[in-house]
Amino acid sequence: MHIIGNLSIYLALALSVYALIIFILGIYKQDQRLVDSGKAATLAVFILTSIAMFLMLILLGTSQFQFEYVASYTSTDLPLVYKLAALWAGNSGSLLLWTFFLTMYTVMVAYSKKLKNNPMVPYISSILLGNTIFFYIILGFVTKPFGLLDFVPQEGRGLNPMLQDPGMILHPVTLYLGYVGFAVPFAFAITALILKTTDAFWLRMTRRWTIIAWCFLTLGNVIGGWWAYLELGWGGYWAWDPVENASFMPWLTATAYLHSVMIQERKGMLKVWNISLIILTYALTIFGTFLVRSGVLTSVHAFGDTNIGSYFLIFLALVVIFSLYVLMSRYHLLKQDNGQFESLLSKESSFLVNNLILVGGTFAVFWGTIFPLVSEAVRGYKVTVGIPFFNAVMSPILLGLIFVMAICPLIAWQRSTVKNLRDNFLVPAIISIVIAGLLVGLGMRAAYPILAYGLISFMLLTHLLEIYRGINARRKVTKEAYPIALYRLMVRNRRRYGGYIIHFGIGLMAIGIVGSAFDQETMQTVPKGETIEIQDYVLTYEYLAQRREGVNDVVFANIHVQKGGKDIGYIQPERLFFANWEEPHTQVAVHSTLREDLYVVLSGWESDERATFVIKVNPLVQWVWIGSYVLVIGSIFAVWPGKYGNITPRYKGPKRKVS
Amino acid sequence: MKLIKVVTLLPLIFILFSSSISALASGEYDINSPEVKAIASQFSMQGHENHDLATCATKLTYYEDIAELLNEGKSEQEILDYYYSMYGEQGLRAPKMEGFSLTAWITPFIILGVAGFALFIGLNNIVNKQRKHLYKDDEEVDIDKEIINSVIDEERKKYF
Repeated sequence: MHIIGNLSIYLALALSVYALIIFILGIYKQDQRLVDSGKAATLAVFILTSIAMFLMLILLGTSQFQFEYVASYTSTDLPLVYKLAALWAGNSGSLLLWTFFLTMYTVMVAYSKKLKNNPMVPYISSILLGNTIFFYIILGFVTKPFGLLDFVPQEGRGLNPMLQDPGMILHPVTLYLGYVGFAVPFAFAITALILKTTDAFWLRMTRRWTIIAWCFLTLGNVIGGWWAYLELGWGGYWAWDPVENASFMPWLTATAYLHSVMIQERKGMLKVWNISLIILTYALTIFGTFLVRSGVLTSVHAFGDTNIGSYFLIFLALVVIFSLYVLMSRYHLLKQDNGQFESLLSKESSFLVNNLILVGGTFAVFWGTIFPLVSEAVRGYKVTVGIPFFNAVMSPILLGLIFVMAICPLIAWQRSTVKNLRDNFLVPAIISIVIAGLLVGLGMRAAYPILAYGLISFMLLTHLLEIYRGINARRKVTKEAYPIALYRLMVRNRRRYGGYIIHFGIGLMAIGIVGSAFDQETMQTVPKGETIEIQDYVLTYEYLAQRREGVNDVVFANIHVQKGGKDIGYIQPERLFFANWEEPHTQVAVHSTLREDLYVVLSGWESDERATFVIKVNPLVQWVWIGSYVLVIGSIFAVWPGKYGNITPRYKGPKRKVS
Repeated sequence: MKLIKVVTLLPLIFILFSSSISALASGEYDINSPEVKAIASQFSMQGHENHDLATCATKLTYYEDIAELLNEGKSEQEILDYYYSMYGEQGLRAPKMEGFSLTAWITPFIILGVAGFALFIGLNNIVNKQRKHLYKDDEEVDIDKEIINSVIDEERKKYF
């Protein structure tokens, strides 16, 4: 098996190199046969990567402990789903998955029907192959997935209990789909530069790619947050950990890119900026991988076993230097903007402000993330840059972003008048101020949450107003019923209304994020039958018991919960003791409602059955997850194919004999 | 005026004093006290700051020590100084807002401010140039109308 595995890795590397050379030769000689050979080679690379990955899945699933990777991350008692998920638990396995997605995307582009006879294809494929070669060098020579041990252990080390969670199945996969997905628009952008095509063709062709990649990255981050929320020791759903920041930064720049491309598509402006943003986004995905795998910064989420970060740093430098060289060499062409800015009060300006805030936010996160290293370089010691710093710095930035989100949909293109502003924003602004006033009346005193909820309301209301106006405009002519008018309005411009749905999702998430800051926590040790009170919850600790799950022991507490005198039911926080892992694992019990989460942890117990619990009441957390569902629905709605406006853009760049 | 100030401040001082005395006397602070949490949230706790109180002995020790210091009558600032003298800036959860560490806090806002100002100036110049150009030539006004009409037409197509 290891021969097949290693052979597929090395053969795929050799074929990737071959494909890259043959593509370059094909482009140079304008020989379609060579380009076709390159395409066939990319398909072969994908097949070999699939073989390697499925072989690894078989090895993991059947507990072939002679393989170092299998022995390091699985054990016989591990449920099959986690044995398979162990593929991305370690460095080499996760990089194999990454390479699988990359080669899959390369084949999708190389054999795309929409790109048939398009001269960009060999260039895009070559750029993606350059990335593939890097990953195969790592897999072939640095961290080998099919490495054998000198002996065959009876049992594997098992998977860290923290990773035995549904989050482990979804989070890395979605995150990688997002990370790798940005390689495609990046490759298109660089190709457009090489071919000197300065129109918006590449933007239109990659619109769906980018939204899908962005959606996966968002999902990856949210699922990661949900997992961290339920996993003790990871600091809640968002702790501004360097690894979390690493995936947040490309999300911010990709969001900026998704907005600024509209200016280029519509007005032919910001060409340099858009290309810079997609280069930055892709560079940040590599930088994130460097952070996760280098160990330069302390993180609970980092890969701990090897140090391959330096390779990613070199790769990052090569990508940035190459991209900047291509960008600078075509700068004179991109500079020739043909668009106009007529007023500071216009949708174009609000998009620019949106970009400024998003990129400024990216810098703030980047700066906070690397500041410990800066401090070490300057003063000789690392400082901690944690939650208080990021909350203080990012809160005003993100509030500014919500404000711009509120303005963008209703402000006019070209030029907005005072009347336009009054008509569009006066009513939402008044209602938002009333909402903020109500919150003060209800006893909220902290300035930030009041401001935040006021702005979120303003944002949601402007969107509702925009949709309401669209419906009314339709109904005046068509006399349709409201739901039909809404449906037809939305499907006729999926991109716009998909975007609005996404904004709604962000708004709902923001409600949850702001609300969850008002959490309450208590830690108490109580004997059996005693109660613990927190807010209007009364928790009665009834008994402590033990059960067996396979080879593992589970100690759990049975707790009866009442809220405001009403019976809620029972919850059972647990402690798991694994046969193959030294440290026990704490499983929290959560009772969720739209208003708040009751979060109970069994911290410890005494011989007389007194038990210690940590109990938290986390307000509005559910809205973070609900908002993310809405966001995904919006993304799917935006990219869903339909008969309206679903036209493949026409390539107007230079013609070539090869495609 | 002075008398008014004294009359106003005296009860306040009395309330503050008596509340701190009663807290001290009864050993009021424990790990669940908001004051303890507020102080503890400022420390990096030797890398355990994001750990959970339920399962992290180091974090729990910090909480207990802070509660004890508060019960001894130490103020928040004294406790912060106490830990700072032991661990220095590395013991804090965020850089101090002084000296070199101040750059951590202000750099993002300086960058944003400068970029925002540059954007404003740049846009303003473009807009002013175009305005001058527009008012000089009536033909341009016609083009402007044409652009507006095309935008209206485009918006109409979106709705119907």
